[in-house]
Amino acid sequence: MSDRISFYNTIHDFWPDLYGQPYALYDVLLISKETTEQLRDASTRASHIFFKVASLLRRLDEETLLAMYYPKEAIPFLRLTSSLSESVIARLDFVESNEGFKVMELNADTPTFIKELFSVNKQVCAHFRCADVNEGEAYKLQMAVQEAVDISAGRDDAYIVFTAHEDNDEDRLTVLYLQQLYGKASRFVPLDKLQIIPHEGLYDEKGKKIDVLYRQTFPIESLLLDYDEAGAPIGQMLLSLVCAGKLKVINPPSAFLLQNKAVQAVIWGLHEERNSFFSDEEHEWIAKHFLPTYLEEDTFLMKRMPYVKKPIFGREGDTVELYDGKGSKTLEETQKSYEAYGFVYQQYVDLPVLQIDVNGQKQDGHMMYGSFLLNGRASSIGCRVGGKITNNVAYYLPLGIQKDEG
Amino acid sequence: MAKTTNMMIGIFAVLGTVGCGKDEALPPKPDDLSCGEYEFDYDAGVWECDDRTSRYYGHYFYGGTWFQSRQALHAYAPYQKYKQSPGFKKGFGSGSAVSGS
Repeated sequence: MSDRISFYNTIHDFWPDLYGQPYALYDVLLISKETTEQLRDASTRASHIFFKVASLLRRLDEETLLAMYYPKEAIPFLRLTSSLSESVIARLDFVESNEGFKVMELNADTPTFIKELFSVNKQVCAHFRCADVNEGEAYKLQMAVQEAVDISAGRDDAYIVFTAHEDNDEDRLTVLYLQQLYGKASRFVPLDKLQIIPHEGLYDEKGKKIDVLYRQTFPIESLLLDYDEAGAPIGQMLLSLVCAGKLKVINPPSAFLLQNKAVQAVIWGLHEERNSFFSDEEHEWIAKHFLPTYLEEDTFLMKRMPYVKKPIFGREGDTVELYDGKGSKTLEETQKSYEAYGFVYQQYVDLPVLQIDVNGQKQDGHMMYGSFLLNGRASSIGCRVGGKITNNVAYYLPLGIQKDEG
Repeated sequence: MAKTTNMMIGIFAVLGTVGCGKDEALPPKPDDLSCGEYEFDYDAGVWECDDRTSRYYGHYFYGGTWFQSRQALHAYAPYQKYKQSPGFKKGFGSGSAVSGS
C-alpha cells in the first residue's frame, strides 16, 4: 500500500481516489503568506464585483436573460431574492499570471472542493508539520451553514434536508460534511428519494414535507432536465415550489444567477466602456483580476490572441476547448456534457507548471487555485493540478504556509 | 460581436432606467460620516457603505443602524416592516434614524 493511501485511510469519509485514479496527493505545496493575502484580496474584490452585478441581472428583461443563455424555465426563479447572501458557499477559480491572480470563473451555485480545503487540508498539514493555510476557516463555514439554514427555516420545527446523488462519493460525503457542521436536527435524503406534489411541496421518502433543501452539489441546470417516469418535469415543479415560497433552497436562487459564465462577459462589457455602474476603483479591480470575456471569439481572432471556449454552465473543464490566435483548436476536453447551452470565449492564460509526486512518480502538472467565498467573504484556498484544462481528474494538492524567512 | 452587443444593449437599457434618472426617488443618502461613500442596494432597498477605508465597508444602513450582512438586516424587525410597506425602495425609512417600532 502506498504512503498516500496509508495516510488517507486514516481520514474518515474522504475520497483519496476518484474515478479509479489518485485524487488527493500525499504532499503539501508551501506558499508564502504574501501569496495567500494576494489571493484573498483578489477574491474579496472579485466577489464584490460579482455580487454587485447580481442585483443588476435580476432587473434584466427576459430577452436579455435569454441572450445570456439562461434557461427560459428558470427565469421566474432567477428574479427571486432571498434573505440569504447571493451565494452562501461559492468558489472562485484563479490562475496566477504574470500580472497577478486572474479570475477564470465563479462557481456560485454548487461548488465542491469543500471538505478538502476546510477539513482534510488541516490534517495533511498536521501530518507534514506545517501551518494550515486555512486555519480557522472551518468554524466560519460552520457559522455560515448554520446561519443560512436557520434563516431559511425561519422556525425551530422546520424540516431540514441535505441531499445529493447517493452513488457519488464526492457529492454525498461533501454534503454529509456540511450536515455534520450544521449540527442540528436534519436528515440526509438522497436525490432519488425526494418526491414532489405539484403546487404543494417537496417530501422525503416517508412523506414528510421538507421546508429547507440543502442542495450543495445539485446544479439547477441539471434539475431542469429531470423528469419523472410519467414524463412530468419535476425539476421545473421544484423551482415553482421555490417561487411560491413553499420550499427554501440553499444555495439560494441568486447563486444560479451568478453561475452563468456570461456574467463575466457582462462585467467585461461594462468595464470596456468604463460604465459608471462601477466606480473607478472597481474598474481598476476588474482590469487587474478579470479576463476579457465575450459571447463570441471575434475580438481574439482580430487581435490574434489565444482563447478558451467554455460552456455557459460547464463544470470541471467539461466541454472546454482551447484555441490559438488563428482560431485553430489546440486542445479539447473529451468529456462533452454541456453542449446544450451556449458558450463564452475568454482570453487564454497559461496555467503555471509545477512538479508533483503521484504515488512516488514525479510528473509535471498545470496548477490553478480555488478560493472559497462564504457569504461573499474570502475564505479557504486550495490547489488543483492537472492538464492544461483542469478537469474532474485533476489532483488535489494540499497547501501549507511557508515559514517566514530570516 | 452581435451576441455580446445584443446582450449589452439589454444591460445598458436597465442601467438607463435605474441610473441617474431615478436617483431622486431613492431614500435619502445617510448622513453618517463614518462612511465616506454610499451605494444604493436596489434589492435590499437600503444604502450600503462602499467606502473601503471605513469600518462599515459592505455594511447596510437602515433606521440609523449599521448591519454587517444582508441576513442581519433581514432579521431586524423594523426593516421587515419596511420591506412589506408600500414605501419599500421608494424613500421611507432607509436614511432616517427612527424606525417606528
